[in-house]
Amino acid sequence: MIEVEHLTKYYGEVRGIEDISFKIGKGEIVGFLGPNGSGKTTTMRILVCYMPATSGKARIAGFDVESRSMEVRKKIGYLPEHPPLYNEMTVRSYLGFVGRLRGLDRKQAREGIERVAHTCSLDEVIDRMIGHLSKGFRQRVGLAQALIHNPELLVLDEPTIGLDPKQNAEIRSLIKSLAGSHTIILSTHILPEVALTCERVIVIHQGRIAADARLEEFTRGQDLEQAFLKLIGAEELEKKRCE
Amino acid sequence: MRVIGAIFWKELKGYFLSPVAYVVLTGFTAISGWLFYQLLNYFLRITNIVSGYMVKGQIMREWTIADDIMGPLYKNLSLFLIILVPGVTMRLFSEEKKLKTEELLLTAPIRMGQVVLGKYLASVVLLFLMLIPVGVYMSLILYYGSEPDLGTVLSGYLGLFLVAFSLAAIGIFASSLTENQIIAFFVCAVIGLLFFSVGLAARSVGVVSIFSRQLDLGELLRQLSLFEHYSHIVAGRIQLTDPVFFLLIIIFFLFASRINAESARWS
Amino acid sequence: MKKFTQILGLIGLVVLGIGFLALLIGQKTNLFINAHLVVGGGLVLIGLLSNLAGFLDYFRKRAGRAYSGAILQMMILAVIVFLIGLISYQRDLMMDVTRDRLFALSEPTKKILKNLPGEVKITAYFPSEGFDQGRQLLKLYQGESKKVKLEIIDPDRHPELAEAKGINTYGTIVFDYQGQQTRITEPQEDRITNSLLRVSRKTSWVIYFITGHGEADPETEDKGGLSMFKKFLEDENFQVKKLQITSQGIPPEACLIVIAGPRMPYQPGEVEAIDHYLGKGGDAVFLLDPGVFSNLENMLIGYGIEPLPGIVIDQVQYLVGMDAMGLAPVANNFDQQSEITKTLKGKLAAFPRVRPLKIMGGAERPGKWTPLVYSSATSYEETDLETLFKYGRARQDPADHKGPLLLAASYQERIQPQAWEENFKGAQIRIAVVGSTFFMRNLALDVYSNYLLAINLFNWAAGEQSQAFIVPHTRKPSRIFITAGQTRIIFYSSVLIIPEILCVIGLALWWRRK
Repeated sequence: MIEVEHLTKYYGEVRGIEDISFKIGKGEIVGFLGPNGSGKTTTMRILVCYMPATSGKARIAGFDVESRSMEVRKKIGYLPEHPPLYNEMTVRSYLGFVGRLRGLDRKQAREGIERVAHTCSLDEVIDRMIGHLSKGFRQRVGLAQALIHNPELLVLDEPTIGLDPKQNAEIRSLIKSLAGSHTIILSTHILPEVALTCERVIVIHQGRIAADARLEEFTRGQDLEQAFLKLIGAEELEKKRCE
Repeated sequence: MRVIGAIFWKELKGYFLSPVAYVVLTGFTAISGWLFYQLLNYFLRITNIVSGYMVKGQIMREWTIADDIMGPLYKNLSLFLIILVPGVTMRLFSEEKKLKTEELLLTAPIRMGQVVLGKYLASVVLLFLMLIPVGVYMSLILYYGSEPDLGTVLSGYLGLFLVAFSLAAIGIFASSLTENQIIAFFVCAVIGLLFFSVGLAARSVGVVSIFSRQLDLGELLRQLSLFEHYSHIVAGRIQLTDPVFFLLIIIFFLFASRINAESARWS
Repeated sequence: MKKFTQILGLIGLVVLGIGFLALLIGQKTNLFINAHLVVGGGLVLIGLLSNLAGFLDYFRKRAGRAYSGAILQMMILAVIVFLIGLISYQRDLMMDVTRDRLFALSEPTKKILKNLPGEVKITAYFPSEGFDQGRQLLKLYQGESKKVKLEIIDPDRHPELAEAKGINTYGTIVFDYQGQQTRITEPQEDRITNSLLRVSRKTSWVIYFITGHGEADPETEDKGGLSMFKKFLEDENFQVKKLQITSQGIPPEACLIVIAGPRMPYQPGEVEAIDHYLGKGGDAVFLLDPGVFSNLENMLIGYGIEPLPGIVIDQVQYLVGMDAMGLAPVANNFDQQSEITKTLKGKLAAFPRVRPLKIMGGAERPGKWTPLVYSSATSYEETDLETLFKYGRARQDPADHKGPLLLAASYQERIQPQAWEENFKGAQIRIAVVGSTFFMRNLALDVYSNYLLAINLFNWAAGEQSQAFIVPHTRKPSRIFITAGQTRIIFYSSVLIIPEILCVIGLALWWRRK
C-alpha cells in the first residue's frame, strides 16, 4: 500500500527527515512514534501530498505522490495536527463541504455524513456550529472529515492530543473499529497509545528511522516505555559523548 | 465545477453568516445613497438657474445627467471601492492560513485554480449585490430624466463593476500573501491606489530613450492607470484597451493568487 | 563569511537597481550613475560567485525548482498579459456610446479627411497638463485618415522646438502640407478641419483692405487699428494686403475686399470699380461706421440694403465700461440658419458705436439678404447725432426706430457663369455689411464672441471654397423633472431606508447566531 524510499526533506538548511524508507501493507495500523520535532509530521505531510520531498520517492497504492498526486489525494483521508475546521459552519455543512471537495456527489455526501456522524458519534451535535463545540467533539469532527469519503488510507497526525482520558479512549476505540477495512497511519508521542492501537511501530528520531518493528518484537517482553527510552536515550548519550 | 461550486457556496455563506456582508452592504449603500442625493440635489438646483457651465457669460458646455450626476457618482464610488473591496477579500486566504484549514484544501484532490476561482466568484457576487443600489439610482435618473444619455450612463455603471471585480482579484492576491488579514487589507489597498494613481505620474514623464530606442513612458503609465481606463468608460468613450485592461488585471492577479496559494507547499 | 557575501550581493542588487533607475530618468550617464552601476555590478558579482555552489545546489533541489518554476510562471504570465495589452493598444478600436457622439468627428470633417490630397503633418504644442480634449480630437483625426501625421510636443520640455517655430501660445497647432503652413490656437474641430482644408489647397487667399479714405488700418496696433484681426486672418492662411484703388481696378488675385470704416467719401470712379468687381462675382465686406457718409450707401441700396444714418443706443443691454449712454449695445440675437452665426448660439457680441441697417423689399437684384445680428428690443436708433456728440445727451423720440435693429447682414447672389470675361471671380456675389468697424478693432475684438463673429464673417465672404462649415458634436443638455416630494422620497429611501433594512437584517442574524 505504501512504499517509501530514501525520503529526505530539508527546510532550507534545517533537516526535517533524512533517508526514510519503509513499506506498509494493506490493512495495517502503523504508529509513528517519536518525540516532538522528530519528523513525524513532515513524513505524513509528504505522504498526503501537502509538500514535496527534497529527494526520495514515496508511492501510495502504486501512485507516486509527486507525479500522480491527484490519484493519491483521492485515496487518502487526512487529519492534520490542527483539525482544519471552519468555526462559522455547522458540522453538517462542514462535512458536506469536505465531501464535495473529496469528490462525492450530493447523494454520496449525504450518505457519507450519515455514516461518519454515526461512527464518530456526532449525531447530537450535527447541526451545531463548529465554533461552539468542545475540544473532544472538534477532534471527532476532524476525524469524521477524514473519513467522509471512506478512504483506503487514513493518516492521523496526533489524533488524541489535548483530549481528556475518556475522550482519548473513545477516539482510540474508534480507530480500532476502523482497522481491517482501512490502512491507518497515526503519529503520537504518547507511548501507551501505540501499544493500545497499533500493530506495528516506526520510531522516528531526529529525522531518521530509529526502529521499525511489530509491536511484540519491538518490546520483546520489556515494557514499551523502556524500549523506547533505551532507543532514544542511547543516541542521546552518544551525542553527549561526542560533544 | 463541483469544487468551484462547493468553495463558492461556502464562502458566500461565510460572508452572510458573519457581519462582513452587512457592514459592507450597509456602509456602501449609505455612502452611495448620500452621494447620489447630494449630486442630484445640486444638479436640480443648478439647472434651475443656469442651463450650462458658464465662463465669461458664455455657455461652455451644457449640464447633463451623464456628466454631472452619474459620472461624478461613479468616479467617487470607485474610490470608495479601494477601501471596501479589500475589506471584502482580505479574509479569503488569510483566514485559511491562520486557522490552518489551508491544509485541507492542499491535500484534497482539487486544483488550487478551482479554489481561487470559487473564492473569487463569491466575492464578486457580494460586490455585485453591493452595487445593485447604484443601479437603482441609475434607473431613477433614467426614469425621471428627459433625454438622458443612456449609453454613457450604462457604460459607466458597467465600468464600476469592472473596477470592483479587478480590485477583488487584487484583493485575493493580497490575501494569498499573508495570514494577517490587516496586512492583506493594506496590501490590496496600496496596490489598488497604485493602479489608480499611476496615471498622475504619466503627466510628468514623457518619452525616454532606453538603449537608443524611444519609449513613451508616459503613455505606458497612462495605459497602466486603472483610473484612466475607467474615466474613458465613464465618459462613454470605450477603447478596446479599456475592457481588455480590466480583464487582464483580473486574469493576472487570479493566476498570481493561484501560484501563490500553491506555494504554501514549499515553505 | 557566506552570510556576509550574500548580504553584499543583495546590497549590490539594490545599488544596481537605483543606478538603472537614475539612468532611465536622467537619460545621460554621469559620475553618480556610473559609480552606482560599477559598484552595484561588482557587489552582485562577488555575491554571485562566492555563493555559486549554493545557488546551483538550490536550483537542483525540488523546492528550488518549484520556486523558480513559480517565478518563471509569473514572468511568462506577465509577458503574455503585456503582449495582449500591446496588441489591443495597437488595434486602437474605439466605441463611442454617448448619445451626442461626442467622441466622433462630424460628417463634413470625415469627408474632408477622405479627400485630403496628400500627407498633412499636424504638430500640436500641448503642455503636459490639460488640453485633453484637443489630444483626443487630434487622435480622432489621426485614426480617421492615414494621411494625417500627428506629433504632440510639450513646449515646456522642448522649448527649443517650440521656439524654432515661434510658438508662444499653449495649444497652438501647426499644419504643414508640402511646405505650406497654417496654425491655429484653439484645438476645436471646426478650426482644425478648416485649417486642414486651407493648408492642403495650394491657393493663395489675398484679402485687400481698401485705404485712402481714413479706413481702419490692418497694420496699426493701437486701439483703433485692426492688427489683432489681421494676425487672426493670417493664422487662417489668408494674406492681408492694403490697396489703393487705381485705374487698374481691383487686382485679380483678390478673394475679398474690405471697406473698413472710411472717414471720407469714395470717389465716383472708385465706387464704380468696386461695383464692377462685385458684378463679376467678387466678394466684399462693408463695415460702415455711423455718422459718416462714404458714398457707398447708394451702391448698397442698389443691392437692396440701406445703412441708416443714426446710431444704435441700448441703455439696458450695453457693454459696461466702454461707452457711456448705451452706445455699445450687446447683441445676443443671431440668425440660426446662416453659416456665419450658427456657431454663435447662446453667445454674445458687443458693438461699440454701430449704425442700424435696413433690408429693403422689392430690390432690383435677384440675390438674397440674410439678417445676421439684431440688437435687443430695448435698443433704439438715435438720429440726432449732433445733440448726442456735442452735448452727450441721448433721448428716445417717438420718431426713432425701435429695436430690435439689424446690425449685420449678408448677401448672396448666384450669377451666370461668364468665365470668358476678364477677372471672373466666381459664380457668386457675396457681400457682408456691418454697421460698425469698432466691434472688430483692437479695442473690442476680444470682447465676448466678437472675434468669432468677425472671423466667421470673413471666412464666409472670402469665398465658398475656402471654408467648410463644421458643427462639431456637442453635448445637448438633459434635465430631471421631479417634485420636491419625490426628491424627499429619494433621499429617505436611498440614504436611510435601504441601509436601515440591511443593518437590521445583519443585526438580527448576528443576534440569532449568538
